[in-house]
Amino acid sequence: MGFSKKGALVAYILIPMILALAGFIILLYFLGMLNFSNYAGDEVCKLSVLTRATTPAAAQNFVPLKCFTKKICLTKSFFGECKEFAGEKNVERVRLPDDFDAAARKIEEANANAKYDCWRMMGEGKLDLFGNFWGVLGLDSKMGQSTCVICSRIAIDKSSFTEKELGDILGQVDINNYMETHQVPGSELTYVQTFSNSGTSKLVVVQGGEDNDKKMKNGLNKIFDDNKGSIPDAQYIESNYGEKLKSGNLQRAYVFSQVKKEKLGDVFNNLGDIGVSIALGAGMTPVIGKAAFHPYVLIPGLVVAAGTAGYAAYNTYIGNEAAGEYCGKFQSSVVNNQEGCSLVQGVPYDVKYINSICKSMQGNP
Amino acid sequence: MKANKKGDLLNNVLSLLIAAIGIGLLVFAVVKLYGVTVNQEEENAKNTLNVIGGKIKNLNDGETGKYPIQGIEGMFLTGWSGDNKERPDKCFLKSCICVCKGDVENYYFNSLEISKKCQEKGFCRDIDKEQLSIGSIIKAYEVGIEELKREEKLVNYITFPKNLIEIEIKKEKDLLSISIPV
Repeated sequence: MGFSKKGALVAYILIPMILALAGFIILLYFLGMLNFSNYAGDEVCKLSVLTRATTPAAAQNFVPLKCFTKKICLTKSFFGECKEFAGEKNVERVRLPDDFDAAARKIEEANANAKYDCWRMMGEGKLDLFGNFWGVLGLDSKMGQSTCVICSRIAIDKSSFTEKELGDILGQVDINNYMETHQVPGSELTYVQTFSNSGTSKLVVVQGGEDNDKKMKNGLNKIFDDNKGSIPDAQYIESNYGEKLKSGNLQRAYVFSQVKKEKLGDVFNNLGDIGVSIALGAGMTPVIGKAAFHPYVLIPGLVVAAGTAGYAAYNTYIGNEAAGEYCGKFQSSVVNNQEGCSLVQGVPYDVKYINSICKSMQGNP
Repeated sequence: MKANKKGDLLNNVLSLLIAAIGIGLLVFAVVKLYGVTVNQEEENAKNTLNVIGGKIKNLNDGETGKYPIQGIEGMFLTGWSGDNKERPDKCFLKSCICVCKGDVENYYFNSLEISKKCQEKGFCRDIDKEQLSIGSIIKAYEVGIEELKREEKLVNYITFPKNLIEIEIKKEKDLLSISIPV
């Protein structure tokens, strides 16, 4: 009888334990199915960002940013692959629906989420992430040289579409409009409201002008080629990048950049040459020092001139996608009154283009 | 009394089991935490080497590809053909590419010193080609008879910048070439 009591006790304790363990394993399996590894990667990145931001400057060098560049392949076929990621591991495949309109929305969603995830992981730009790294890396914070993390790269599996299909889909892609009209997953706020701290639901429109155009053209010249000279912009883009645009062999990268400055003043000018457009936005907006949200305003004619309109419109070699931006005092700064600007922007994954923004990079490729 | 003893034993076993699980979780957390703080430079070097290796593998003979690669400050890319006797021991008998740490500019043309650097502080990967050519052009100071000159020189390594770099990989039947596109 005593034996049966013992057996009952064992069963009473062990069976629930075994069931709980089995349930836990099943849960882990499904979490794995739900791309848990990516989620875990995001959280590890966020943790390392927080750790570094709250570490005294002297020890910041020992706290690496454990942020891996996400590789996202947008494809229509079940086993589709993006040739841009050939030979690379941990590529996340996002399936696009057959319906053109739905596929365009999915592309917008993937891009908007990539930008938002980057912004969120990097502490919404309010953390002093690179502390004294400027000095360590030989950069001069007074010069406003920016340090970057490439949060994600997004490519489209062109082989899963006909050229016409892809053109039709990409012609409908409007990431800015998506961010104005759609809510961030799990939030009541739209992407634009989230980036702008609920301040606005519409993107700030920056008007062009003779001075602005001149600044932009100067910036573009620096990005593309110092020796561009007097060749018309459209012709230059077409001859240098037309083939890339037509072949659709381009991918976007979501890049977080941060620059420090003792005085904010003209800091926007120092966010790399591409920051020219941001500088224009800042100049037109009376909320410097708070989180703001600005569109790039660059010569639209250049985009139209180059290659397939649909693809070019999406992958705008001359960017036209709004950037998340924060300018002001860093909340975690260990140096008193350390100010600067942070920016997350979608740009073509091109060496010259990205290097014009980033003088130094961190994070894992 | 006997039943109580058995009950105690069961309780003890369960406590031990829970303690073991707890310790296991703690060790797991510590290992994970260590992983977070482990030298990122080395990790980046391995990742970069893997990315380059993957791109090479993906190319067919006769194909050329240009790829943006994230640079790692203070590191360089180099490699040796299988028949090069100066290659580091860690390359064994095959051709290999290596991402190594070091101030390579002090060893402009000294292949043996570069090999030594890679043996000590480098990560290498076998390449399935008999001949390997890795090269870039640097501006090197050359001590002339009359003055210090800075001239362009071809070296058998590619120094990584702090930001992105584009490399060109050309795969032929028996030769693999890696260079910086002009």
